[in-house]
Amino acid sequence: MQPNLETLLREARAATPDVAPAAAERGIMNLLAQTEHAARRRRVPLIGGIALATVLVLALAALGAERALQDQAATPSARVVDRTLLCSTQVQGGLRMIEMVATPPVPTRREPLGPVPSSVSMTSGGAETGTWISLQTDRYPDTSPWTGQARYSRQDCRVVNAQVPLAMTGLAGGRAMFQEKQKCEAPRQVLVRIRATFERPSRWVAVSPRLMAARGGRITQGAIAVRTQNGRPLAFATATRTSVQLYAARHCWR
Amino acid sequence: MARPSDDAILVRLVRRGDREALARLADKYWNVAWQAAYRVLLDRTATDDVTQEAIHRVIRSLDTFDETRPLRPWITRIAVNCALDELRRDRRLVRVAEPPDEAAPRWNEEASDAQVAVAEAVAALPAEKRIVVVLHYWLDYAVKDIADVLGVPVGTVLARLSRARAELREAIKEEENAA
Repeated sequence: MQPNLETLLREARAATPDVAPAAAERGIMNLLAQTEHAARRRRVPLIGGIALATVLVLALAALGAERALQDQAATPSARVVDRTLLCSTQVQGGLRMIEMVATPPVPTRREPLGPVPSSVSMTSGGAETGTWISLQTDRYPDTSPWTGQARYSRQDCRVVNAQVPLAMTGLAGGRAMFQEKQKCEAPRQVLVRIRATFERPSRWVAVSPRLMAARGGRITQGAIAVRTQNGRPLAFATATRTSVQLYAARHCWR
Repeated sequence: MARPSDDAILVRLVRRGDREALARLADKYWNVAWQAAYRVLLDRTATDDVTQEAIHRVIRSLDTFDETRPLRPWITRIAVNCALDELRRDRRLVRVAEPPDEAAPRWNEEASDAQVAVAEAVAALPAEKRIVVVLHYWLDYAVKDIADVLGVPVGTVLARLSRARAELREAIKEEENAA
């Protein structure tokens, strides 16, 4: 029997899309930066000290509570998260491609920006709505509440069992410049392996409908390797807290 | 005494200035606010901006929030109000007969064809009818609440809903005939 119009209308709300993970992340970071800025203007030094201590205690308590919740889940925590994904790629400017971005750390920069941590990412189709895999070794001061984190867009990538070596074999490159980019023409789907070693135990958690993330203190070593399903290497990037390397296939361009 | 909910604890921590809790609250409810605003605006870029504004408003208003009540509907209401403000700013409520952005709205890839077809039909309604349908069927607003939020009489809301349903029935019938 055909459902009535009212039922059809109510069910059609399921067609509402989710926010793009990058847009949500950027919005949250803006929010935190603005609230911190406002708090700073209000803060009196002595009270500031007390408040900071309180915030730290509460943050630790919140983290403890979150950790306790996480511990109840089936997936065990470990310092190393390592996942191989099959991710779809998007057409951009008439070309199906992936983009690797590597940012080495900028250790001393005056506030409000503060030191920029190492980060590497692979995107396809733009950060707004496209496929997105990234890791950052430490926090962005005044913006991110998280320390190191590894993330990927859930709707564009699924976990697979496949061999993707974390190696630069067949690729060219080396130490990355600030926000160095490499674009590579890619097939409809690519294999991506993301691995991160955290200072504290971590695990993959669905943090929003479109985003999986692993967070657990700073990342001491991280890597992203991208291959075609035929095993042809496309790109490889590594990040430690002090340096970032980026390698790409010869057909890729800056 | 009843144990406070996770959200109530989160709200208390945010009120005390806990950034970690603030980030968790924003992370948890960003998509809720975004989806509510998107249903009204059907425009990703505008929705991103409005969500930012809505979450800011939520944080600023947390002191007045009653912890015994659920957080989700409260945030949804704020997001919808911000989205309606955005529409009013653009005078889209009175002048447009098509979705606000030039590009077609994007729908959830996991939705069924039927759901997308009905959503498309809703999106194609003239703005004043589309808004009452969205508020009533997608955001569960009572007719009286719609009248309050739009500042129009209840009778006007009922009339718009009735006319919108008639148009949607036609549109769905045409779609079925075409198929």
